Amino acid sequence: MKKLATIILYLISTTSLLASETLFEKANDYYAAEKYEDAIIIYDSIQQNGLQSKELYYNIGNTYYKLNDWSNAILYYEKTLKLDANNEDALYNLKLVQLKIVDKIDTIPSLFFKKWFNTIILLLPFDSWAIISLILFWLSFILYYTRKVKILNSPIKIIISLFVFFVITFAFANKQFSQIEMQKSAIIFSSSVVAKSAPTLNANDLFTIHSGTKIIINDNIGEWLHIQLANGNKGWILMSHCKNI
Amino acid sequence: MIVSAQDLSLNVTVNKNPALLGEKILVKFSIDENAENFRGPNFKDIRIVSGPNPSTSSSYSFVNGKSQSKTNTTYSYVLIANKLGKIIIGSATVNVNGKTYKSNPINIEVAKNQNNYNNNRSQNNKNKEPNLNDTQLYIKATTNKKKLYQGQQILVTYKLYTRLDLVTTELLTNPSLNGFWTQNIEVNSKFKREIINGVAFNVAIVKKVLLTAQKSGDLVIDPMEIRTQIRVQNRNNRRDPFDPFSMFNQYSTIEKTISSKPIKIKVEQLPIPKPNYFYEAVGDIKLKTEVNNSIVKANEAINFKVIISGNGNLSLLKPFEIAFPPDFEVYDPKIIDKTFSAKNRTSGKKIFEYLLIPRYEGKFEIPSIKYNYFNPLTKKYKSILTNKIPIEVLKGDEQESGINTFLNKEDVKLLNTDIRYIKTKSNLERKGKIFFRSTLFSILLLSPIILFFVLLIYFKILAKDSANSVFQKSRKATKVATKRLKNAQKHLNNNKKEHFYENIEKSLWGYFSDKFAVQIAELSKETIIYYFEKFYINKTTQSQFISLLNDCEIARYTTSKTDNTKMETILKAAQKIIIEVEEQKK
Repeated sequence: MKKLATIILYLISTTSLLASETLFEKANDYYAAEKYEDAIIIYDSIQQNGLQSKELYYNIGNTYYKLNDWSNAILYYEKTLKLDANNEDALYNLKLVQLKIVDKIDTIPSLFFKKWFNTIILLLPFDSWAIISLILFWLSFILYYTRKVKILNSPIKIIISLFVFFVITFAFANKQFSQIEMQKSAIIFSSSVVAKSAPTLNANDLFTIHSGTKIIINDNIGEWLHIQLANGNKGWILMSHCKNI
Repeated sequence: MIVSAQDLSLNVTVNKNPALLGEKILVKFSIDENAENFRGPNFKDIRIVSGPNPSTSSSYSFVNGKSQSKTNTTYSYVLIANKLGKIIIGSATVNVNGKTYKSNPINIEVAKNQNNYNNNRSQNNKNKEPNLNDTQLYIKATTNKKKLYQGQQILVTYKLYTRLDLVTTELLTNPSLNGFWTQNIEVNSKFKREIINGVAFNVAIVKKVLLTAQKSGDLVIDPMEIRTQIRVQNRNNRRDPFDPFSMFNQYSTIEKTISSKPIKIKVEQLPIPKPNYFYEAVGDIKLKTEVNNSIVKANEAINFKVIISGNGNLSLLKPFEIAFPPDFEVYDPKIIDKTFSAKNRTSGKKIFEYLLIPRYEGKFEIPSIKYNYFNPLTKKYKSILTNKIPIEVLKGDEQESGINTFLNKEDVKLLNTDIRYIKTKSNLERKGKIFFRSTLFSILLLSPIILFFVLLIYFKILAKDSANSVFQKSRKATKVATKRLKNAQKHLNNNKKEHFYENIEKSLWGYFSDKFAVQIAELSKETIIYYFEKFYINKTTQSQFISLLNDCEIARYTTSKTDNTKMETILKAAQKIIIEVEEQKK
């Protein structure tokens, strides 16, 4: 009966945000009652309506964790982090799930200034950086123009520094955007996948990865993906073994 | 107990075959029953020394509580051959319980007896040494091949040939056989008689060894050395009829060491190029693979066997690399050697038994194995391809081993903690709403640039307009000036002196200002000179223009009487000077 109820709920759910918010609360109630399967169905229906939020993805990740579905849990925590790279709870839970999976891949340690650079970039979502850069651009333009037509005599140093800050913030937005939006990464769902040296089945075996491992997709040819692991290893696997974040 | 009649037969045995000329030969006819009425064969070329000598023997045995009696009747002859070559001993007959049994005829080979001959000679020449040369005692090594390939097997037989009375033999040096892998074949080293070039020898196989060539080139099969003790008749001791011990001293023993000749063997290299997947197997080989179980749970062992059978250098074969699925834990194979060396080759089976443990569920396959071997008979490489073996690994029992082996202390602590709780509030939004790089963002980014250019163009046009106004002014200058002069004319007519001069002055200054685009504030006589020079207005016009202005000024501020004619000339001069300037400034 409960199942049926949730399905009906799913069917009557309209695409309106308001309805989705009540659905979200409903799913949270199921989660609180440890009815994780039901919670998943409703969370999914919100997704089906084309809605997203970092909290939604985080909750779905938690639900999959409770269902011992590590691959899906990792997938949704990663989706959370895609929307909010510094989400502390998602990072913490992700660390916990990663203890459950087979592959323990050491990331290549990046240089300290790269790390700092990254933390600065990830301070704000790229859209915020974009808005800041726009404001700076407009400001520097207006000040320059008013100076030119002798309405406002603002110092040229201020105008130049405003323009420089515009360039920097724009670069931040661009960098974060390419890191998050352009770079396709995925989670392995097959229990064991052998990466090949070329996109054919006859190619040499390079390494094996297991479910829950995060991969970066560099390229694809037909059904084959050219993937890269956090430790820098590269190889080809079939598309069907993984799901995009 | 009565043995059934069918089982009975008259058997013939000969103690020496081949036999020597003049040697005593014992021939026995025997039947397992009480027999009578023995009729011997006709002997040709044979002297009967004694016989037939009948004898019977009986034996009783108890088997399973029943007594059995056995009777045997034997008729024996002692014969001496008179002729070299083949001698036929014909059939003999015997009666048992009224039934007649017949023996088969047999052939006896008779060879020359050199020993006797020598003995006779030595008896004649008693001072001579007994002949112990190589023709009487030697070892010979023989091989079944002279040429072979590396990895191929060759059988070497060491045989001891003697016509002397050997007391002991002792192996001095066992051939070391460098460059070969050796396998001894068990031999029965009983002496047998063999005729060589019509001469009888006692021959014993000392050693049979199966060699596998391990390198190419000319290899040598080493000689074998044997020390023998030979009993020879004492040549000096004459028989002393009064010495009771003389008969014991007739013989003495001599030691002699003999060795075989080394044999050279040519070992050829295997044809080049050697194919891939060639693991030094030479011979006639079959290979198959098998698993004990093709559907297992994760973490359960699979037994995978590679079985190489046939003949060749099997015992030298080593496990080779097999591309097992990478997720299988593979243990070093157990090597089971079921080979045996017999006749002239090694054959049997060699088994490599692998223990595989799949760690994860899924469908895997043990790939087909390609195995190349060299067949020395056809002198070609041959290829074996086994079938793939699909293996289905089902989900193993909970908590796989080995999964938590890489955790450090902190990780272990974390394992016991729970994830953080879900979020209760959320701002849901449509997917794909990204501001950065959206059209709105692009418009907002590009608009200041566009605006900048738009404003730039706008001001350009404005500036152009202002430039146009200067040009217009200069064009209008004359008109304005003439208008003012007309005003002056009116004042002249009304006889208003001050207004007249003021208008003349204004018209001149105004004309200059408009024509040369000079600001009103900058108007002075110096500027007039400066601009007139700049536009190449000649000096006389220049001085006239200035003097006219001076005249007007003086006339305006002096209270002299109004002089109509003077006013008229000034008006004319002003009109004239404007035309002059107009003409000169183009």
